[in-house]
Amino acid sequence: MPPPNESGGMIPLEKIVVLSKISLFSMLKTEIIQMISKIAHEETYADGDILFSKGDIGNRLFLIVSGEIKIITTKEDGSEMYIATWKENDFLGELSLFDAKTRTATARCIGSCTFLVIGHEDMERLIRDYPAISLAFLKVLISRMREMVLSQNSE
Amino acid sequence: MIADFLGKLLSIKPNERNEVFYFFLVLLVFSFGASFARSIGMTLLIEKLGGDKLPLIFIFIDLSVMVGSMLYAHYTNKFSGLDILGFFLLSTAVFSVIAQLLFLATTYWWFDQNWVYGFFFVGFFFFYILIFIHTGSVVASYFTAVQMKRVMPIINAGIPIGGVLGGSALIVLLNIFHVPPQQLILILGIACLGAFGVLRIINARSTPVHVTNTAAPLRTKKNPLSGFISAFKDIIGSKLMIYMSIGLILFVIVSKLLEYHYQTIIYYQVFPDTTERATFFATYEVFANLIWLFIQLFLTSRIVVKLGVGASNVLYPVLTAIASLGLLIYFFLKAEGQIANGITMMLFLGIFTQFINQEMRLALRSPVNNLLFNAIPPNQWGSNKAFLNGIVFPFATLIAGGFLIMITGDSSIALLNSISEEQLHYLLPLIALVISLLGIWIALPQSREYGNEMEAQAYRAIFGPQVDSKGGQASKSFRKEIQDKLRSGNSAQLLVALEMVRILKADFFLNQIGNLLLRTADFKIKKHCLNTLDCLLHSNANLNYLIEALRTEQDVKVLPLIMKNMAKFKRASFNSLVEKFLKHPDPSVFIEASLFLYNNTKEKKRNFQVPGRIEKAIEARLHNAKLQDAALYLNALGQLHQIHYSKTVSKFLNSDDPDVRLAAFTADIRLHLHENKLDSLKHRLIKALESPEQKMKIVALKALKDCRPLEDWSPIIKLLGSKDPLLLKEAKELLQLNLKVGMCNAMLVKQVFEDKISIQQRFETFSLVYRTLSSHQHKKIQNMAIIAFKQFIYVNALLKLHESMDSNNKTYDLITKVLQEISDDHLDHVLTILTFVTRQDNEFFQMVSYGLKSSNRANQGNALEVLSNVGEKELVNLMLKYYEERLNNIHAFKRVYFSLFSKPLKNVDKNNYKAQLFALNHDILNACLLYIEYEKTGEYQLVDTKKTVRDLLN
Repeated sequence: MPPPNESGGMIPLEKIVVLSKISLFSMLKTEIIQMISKIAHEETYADGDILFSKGDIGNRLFLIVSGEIKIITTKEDGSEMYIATWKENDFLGELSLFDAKTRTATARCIGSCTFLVIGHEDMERLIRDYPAISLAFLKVLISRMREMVLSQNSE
Repeated sequence: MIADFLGKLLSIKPNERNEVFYFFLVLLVFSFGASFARSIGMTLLIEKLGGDKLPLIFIFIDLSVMVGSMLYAHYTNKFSGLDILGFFLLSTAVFSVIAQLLFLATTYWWFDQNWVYGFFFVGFFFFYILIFIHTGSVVASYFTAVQMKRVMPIINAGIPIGGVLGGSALIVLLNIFHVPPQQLILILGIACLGAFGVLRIINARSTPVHVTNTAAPLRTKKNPLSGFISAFKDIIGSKLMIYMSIGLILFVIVSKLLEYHYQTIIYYQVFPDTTERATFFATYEVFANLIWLFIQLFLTSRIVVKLGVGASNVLYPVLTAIASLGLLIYFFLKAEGQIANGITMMLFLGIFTQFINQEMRLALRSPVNNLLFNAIPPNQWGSNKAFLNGIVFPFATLIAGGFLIMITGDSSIALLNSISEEQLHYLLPLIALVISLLGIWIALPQSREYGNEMEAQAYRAIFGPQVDSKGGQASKSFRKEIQDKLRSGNSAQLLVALEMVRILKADFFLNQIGNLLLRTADFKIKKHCLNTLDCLLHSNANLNYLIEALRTEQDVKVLPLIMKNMAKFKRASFNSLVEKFLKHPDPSVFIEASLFLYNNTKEKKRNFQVPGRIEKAIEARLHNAKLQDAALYLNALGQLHQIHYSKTVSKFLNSDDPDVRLAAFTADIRLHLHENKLDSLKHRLIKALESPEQKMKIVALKALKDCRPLEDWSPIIKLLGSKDPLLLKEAKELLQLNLKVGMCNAMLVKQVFEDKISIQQRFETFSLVYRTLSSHQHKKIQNMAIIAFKQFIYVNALLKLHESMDSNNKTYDLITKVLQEISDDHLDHVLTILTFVTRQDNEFFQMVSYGLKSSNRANQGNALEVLSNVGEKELVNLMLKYYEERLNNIHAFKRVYFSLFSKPLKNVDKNNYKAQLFALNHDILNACLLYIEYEKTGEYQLVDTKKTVRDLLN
């Protein structure tokens, strides 16, 4: 995985604008979003960069500011299997904030991508001060779980 | 200073002092007056009406109390406990004025109207009994159950102290100023007015912890009779209540027989003169009350702890049996002519019997008997107490009174007529003795049943009320259930069984748990075994299991736990066994062994070298410790309570490791607290409130509770806005504590009127000071609500205006979000005030706030429905009118605003859009507006812009 290209271009207000559009945080008060913006770091990746690979230890949450991410996994025969594509205002790695376990898939950038990245420890510290954040996480996780169940049922 | 000393001596916390003092004062003042009324009333009654009327008087008193109890139970749902007590006191004052006038009339004009004395005696005891029945419930409503155990003996001490003072004053008035007893009844009225005055102070300064619930179950019934029928069904269903009822009947009969005996036989013979008898009663009051005070404060609770509730209840009938036996022997021998008519001996027996019958009843029987109610479900307390006091007690008086009338008056039964007066003098104690023995006989199964019911209650608490509610059966099946779980190899089952034994304190499982501790290899089970053993009886068997475990255990996580348990036995005999762990490499094991030996040798004041050696060893290990172990050694140093280690621990306050910093901080606080020097750390404690670590703040807040009041409360008040529930709880507790002693009130009130505070901060501040606000301040707050509501409509209008503006910029959605939040804050401001003004609770606030903010019409409708049912009609009507409107555009807002406030909504139009948003003075909003400008012009106009706004743009 190539090292991230640190541009540091976003001003705090822009980070708040981005964070308030992401479903994980949109229901939080701007006061809390402003606190989150202080621990969110901007990182830029080039086309084809691997954000993380299957089996990596995940301890960061990625919020997509611009660009697209392809989620793939490798089959037993070595060939790639497409799982999903995440776009602007989507997020990935939310589970890693609660248990730093290995990534279950690989994320690859399609075109130039910019992210806001939040580390596991920073987030945990913030959740202690603002428990409302964990409620927001819970709601998003439950809605994702519901989507998974529905999709499994429809299959 | 004195208050601090007394508070510490009597284990009264600063936040309890006011209530304890005022309730103590109520009882003291009332008891002062009552001691006059009791002594004079009894003297005049025997003098004017004759002792033979005493049984009839008993019956009248208890019948009136029975009717009074029924009415009291019926009316408690309509008035507060304090109001009822105030009513009783005022009624007693009025009654004493009437009695005084009647006494004067009989002295100077109606010489033969002796019924007046009976009327006074019955009336006084009617109020006296009702006041004492009710006072307990009122006091209980101002304290939690845990507080009650500590404060009740202190508050009750007001009764004997008032009695001593009253008795002394009566002696002086009778013998030095020679005031006739008939003229002193008014003092009862004055005392009642004084007690009433103290009640008003309580009402103004304190708030009940919970609503008085004396007769709660009766409230749900249509009439008092159905309440008693329901209580009767409860009694039939409870063996314990049957034993308590029989025990009460036996007690009342014995009490009446003995009272008749010493009042009409002994004292009448010893003191034939009225003033002499009144002086004797007053002197008796002084000494008897002093002894009662001693027993109440120092003996009763120790007896209960030592013997247990069940066995303690056997003591009182034993005492009455002894008194009866004494009277029987004396008067029998006197009737047989075997001893001379000894006044001193007779007086001694009279005093002894009266003391048992009167003072020991209040100091021992009543408190110990009340504890039996612990085994009865709380929802039955009111009805069962009302049944016992209102039905069983008068019924027993009727039996005793009827019997006394029959045996002492003219009877149609030949056998009774043939009893001579001298024979009666020893027959009464003989009957009292037999009934006392029956009382002992009943108290034994009552004690057993109490144990069974307590066990069954715990069983119900764990398994739910539907499971096997019969005490004995429950106990057996419960034991079997625990046995099965303890025998199972399943760790989850074992943990459940251990928890059950721990809650029940079931000592009969001690051996099984001890063996399990020695046998198991699972750390979790060992830990639970040790927790459970700690809750069981600290017997030799318990200690032996711990010693054996300490010998054989290898796990370094378990060893400290074993030593912690052993330390509670405070025995130095196995110091040598623990000493070997001083060389253990694991810090937890070393520390527990060190603290064990340190405390054991220091407390027992033996082997003076050991504490010094241990102190040095801990210090040495601290200096060589790895960072992760330093916190453990610092905690240990804090527990040594040697202030000179403050320097050592302070060095770690700036450690890189937050756990080490916290441990050093806590240890330093402990060291200073033990030396009463915590105030010297005050500056550091306040600084810690700004720490980024919540735990540090919590420790500081806890420590500040033990410091003198602060000069500036703003750092604590600020924490009322904390999102951390523990931190908020501690901050509130500290402020509450100081509010009670009149500190920090002004700053909190000032906070209420601040504009720029969070909703949570305002809500919490209101919860602390709302009751103390003046009517002028209440008015100001109501105006604040109207202003906040106007602001709410105005911001919503701005929001509507914003929605009509160009949405093609990055910050458009963020501005919408911020405006929505500002509007929500104004609405919550209005609802916060409404919640307190209309005496609603947090649930009301949450429900209405959530409903009104919801986009779902049904939720909004429900919230409006709830809102329409509270008071404060002016504000509520404005809100209801606003929510009835369809506000589709700015014009609609302007129209509604004008119709509500008769004033136009100014400047909400496109020309003023930016200026109005800037005027809201919100950092993010201002940054957004500057950002929009930047996108258009390519440069920021940051002149006169706040730093916080600039920071958002850099």
